[in-house]
Amino acid sequence: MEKSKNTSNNMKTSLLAGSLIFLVAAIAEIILGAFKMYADSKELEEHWVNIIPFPPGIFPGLVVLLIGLIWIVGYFVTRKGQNANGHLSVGTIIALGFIFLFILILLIDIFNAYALGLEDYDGWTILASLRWIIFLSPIPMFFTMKYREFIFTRKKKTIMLQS
Amino acid sequence: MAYKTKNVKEIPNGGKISTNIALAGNPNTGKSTLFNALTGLKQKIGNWSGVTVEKKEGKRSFNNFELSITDLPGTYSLSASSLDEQIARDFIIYDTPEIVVQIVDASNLERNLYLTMMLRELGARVVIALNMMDLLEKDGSSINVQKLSTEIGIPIVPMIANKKIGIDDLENAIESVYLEDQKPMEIKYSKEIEEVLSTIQKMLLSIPSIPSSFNLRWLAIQILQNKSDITTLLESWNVKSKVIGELTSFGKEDYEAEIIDSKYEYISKVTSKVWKKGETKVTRSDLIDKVVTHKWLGIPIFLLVMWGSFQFVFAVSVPFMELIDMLFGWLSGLLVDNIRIEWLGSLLGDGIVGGLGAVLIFVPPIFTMFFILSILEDSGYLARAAFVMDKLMVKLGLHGHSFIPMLLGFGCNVPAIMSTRSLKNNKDRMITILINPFMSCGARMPVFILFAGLFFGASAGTVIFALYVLGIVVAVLTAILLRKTFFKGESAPFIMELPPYHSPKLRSATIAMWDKGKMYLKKAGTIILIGVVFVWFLAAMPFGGVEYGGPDTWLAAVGTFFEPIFRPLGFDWRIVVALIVGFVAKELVVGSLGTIVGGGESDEGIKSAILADEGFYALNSLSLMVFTLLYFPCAAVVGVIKKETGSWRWTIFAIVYSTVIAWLFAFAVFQIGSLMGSGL
Ligand SMILES: Nc1nc2c(ncn2[C@@H]2O[C@H](COP(=O)(O)OP(=O)(O)OP(=O)(O)O)[C@@H](O)[C@H]2O)c(=O)[nH]1
Ligand SMILES: [Mg+2]
Repeated sequence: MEKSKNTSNNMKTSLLAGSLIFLVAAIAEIILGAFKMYADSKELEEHWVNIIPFPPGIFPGLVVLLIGLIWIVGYFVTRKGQNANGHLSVGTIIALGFIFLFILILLIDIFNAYALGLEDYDGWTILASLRWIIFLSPIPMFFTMKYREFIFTRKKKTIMLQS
Repeated sequence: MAYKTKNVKEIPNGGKISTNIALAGNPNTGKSTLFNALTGLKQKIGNWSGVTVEKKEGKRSFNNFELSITDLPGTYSLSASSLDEQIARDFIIYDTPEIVVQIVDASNLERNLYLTMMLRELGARVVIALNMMDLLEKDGSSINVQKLSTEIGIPIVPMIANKKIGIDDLENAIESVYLEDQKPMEIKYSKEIEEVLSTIQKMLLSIPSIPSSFNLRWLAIQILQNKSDITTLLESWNVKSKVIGELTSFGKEDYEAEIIDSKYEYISKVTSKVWKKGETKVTRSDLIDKVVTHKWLGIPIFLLVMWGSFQFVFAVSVPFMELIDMLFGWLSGLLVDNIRIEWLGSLLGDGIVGGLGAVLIFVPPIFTMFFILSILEDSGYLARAAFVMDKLMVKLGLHGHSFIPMLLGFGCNVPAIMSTRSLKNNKDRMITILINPFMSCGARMPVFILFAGLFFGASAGTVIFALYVLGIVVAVLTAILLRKTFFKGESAPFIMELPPYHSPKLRSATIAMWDKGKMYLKKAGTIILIGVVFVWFLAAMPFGGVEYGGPDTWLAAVGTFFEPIFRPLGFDWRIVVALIVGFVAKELVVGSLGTIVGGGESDEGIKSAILADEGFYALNSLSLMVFTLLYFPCAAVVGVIKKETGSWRWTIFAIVYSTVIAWLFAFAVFQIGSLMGSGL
């Protein structure tokens, strides 16, 4: 009993901290993304958004925003004393899905740039793709490790049927 | 024509027994999964209700038996309230399969047994395949199979169909039921009802044209419940209308309610004896559903999943597409340069390799797309996405139950339109059919991938996503329009059962991807091949002297004739021709462009050819994508709309309406874009 109470308190804190960080990051990304669009339309390669390490982008920002929102809804659910495992899990699974996607894109980018030598990749650096992963990963990874049993159900052995 | 009351058979010495069985049961219980396991065929399986909408036959031999097995659409009872249920009902009642194997979802015993009661009352000989035992176990519940079997007098075989567990036992059960007798079940109703029943039965007995073997008690019960199609049945036996009138005057709503209640009473008595519920805990499914069907989060999550999917499709397929494009470009150049007979070189190089290559480049994205779709389907998420979108539709004053067909349209609109058969209300169904072509099918994707990839660089995935969303928006707006004009009235209430989540299986997703993808390859080898050869021919005619694909060819004559209509959209005659040829199949839009544009020059795939061509730029490619998304559904879809609506009027409406809408949207895109001088 004591233990489960601790876990839920823990989760409350995790959800709050995780969601706040994601929400702030999301807003920053979206604003930077808007600047970048402006910079790109004026073809300003040297624009400061292209130089700072924080990844800009409206759509990826919306992804982060939504994950943050799911977690914060979860936080309010725990405050009502209800179970927010679903919120934690769905947010984390979406984040993991996108991390997987970004890693995949990174690998494909490397392939396109170096093996195929596509022209589109002239100004491209590994870091440009990598920074997404660097910024998106820590919290979902932490959640996955800490709440593994909530997020992934333990596999039961296949049952035998009586005949 | 009817179930006999007595049916004991012996196995003839050494001889084969061929007989037929039907797989019936509530929706989404695993009928098709079992059917595939038994027959080795590949009926479509999906994790929601209403996947199968047509009966399908297969075969299996074991011991001395040669079974012909029919997979039926799901049904909750034998009184059909939708087209697919009607197909199942008619097959069971009129085709009288020797044995009905009812697939029962073990975690939903009570509701499933209602159909069992109906089947047994009808006199069908039933074997129960108690499926999804794994889910029952997970739930912590249990069923005393032995006891249940004795209680209801039906052999019961526990199964896990998707793991092929329990097949042998099922065969044995089928064999023993075939050899033994199974009397129709008689549920005793109240004294009043029983009296009326026997009066009706006596009347029926005196009508000579009713086949003597028909289960008269069942017939009487149907008459008592005022089942409308019983009149049709009686008429088919040439029963006089006066007699029919007399018979049907016995029907009363009170009786119907009582008959249904008695069945449920009996069922709940039985289940209380054999079923132990696991301790009620909130399941993981419920917790996840609380988030993904949340009133604000639901739709954003769906959009996010879509956006992520297109990013995935695009990222994964680009390198493969590059390789295929290089290969075909090289091959085309090789043929044109090295074949002495000039027209033959041009036919092979420009026509076939150019056109077909342009289509085959899109095998990677289409396969990836099918892969993702089937993962979403199988996991159970698709049903949730449909659920949140349906809820939105209902809020807009429309009907629910239409988004599963719509989301299926992302694969192909033909099966998507057929799947509307599970809708209960005809007006709802008509609307759902007519708006389905706006859902962007796999065949339109080549156009999007090609042009978005060429002109929108890193935002390509997002542009494609936006097009799909535009398709949904136009579909919903059209639904509102149709509801306000031609299809006024009440729609069926929206209750939807959410299927359990499964962890998607890589293997089955790969198989599904291959099965659907194969269709695309097949099409490439047939219709598309013929199409591109046809286009090549017109692009090379008249013989002698004209430049291939140039302004003096017959093709150009056709294109320039229609060009004025399309000039406000930014299309030149070549695009116009491609769009016209695309009437047949939308892959041909890209295929024809490959033949026309990619032809002539050596060593170039369609991508570089288009990039080098002044007739194509970002803005007109955007309006081309919008037009392709919305205009005339392909020939196959027109065919299925005609078949499912049964009306030429509505079919023509669908054609004209969608093309006009497409023109208007593409016009708006091009004109607004030009006005903004967006530098596109
Ligand atoms: N866990 C579990 N899932 C199963 C089992 N059998 C089938 N399924 C899954 O249940 C879902 C429904 O299977 P279908 O075979 O399409 O069901 P159906 O009864 O044909 O459905 P309709 O045609 O819509 O009436 C699929 O996702 C299957 O993979 C089983 O024994 N256990
Ligand atoms: Mg089925």
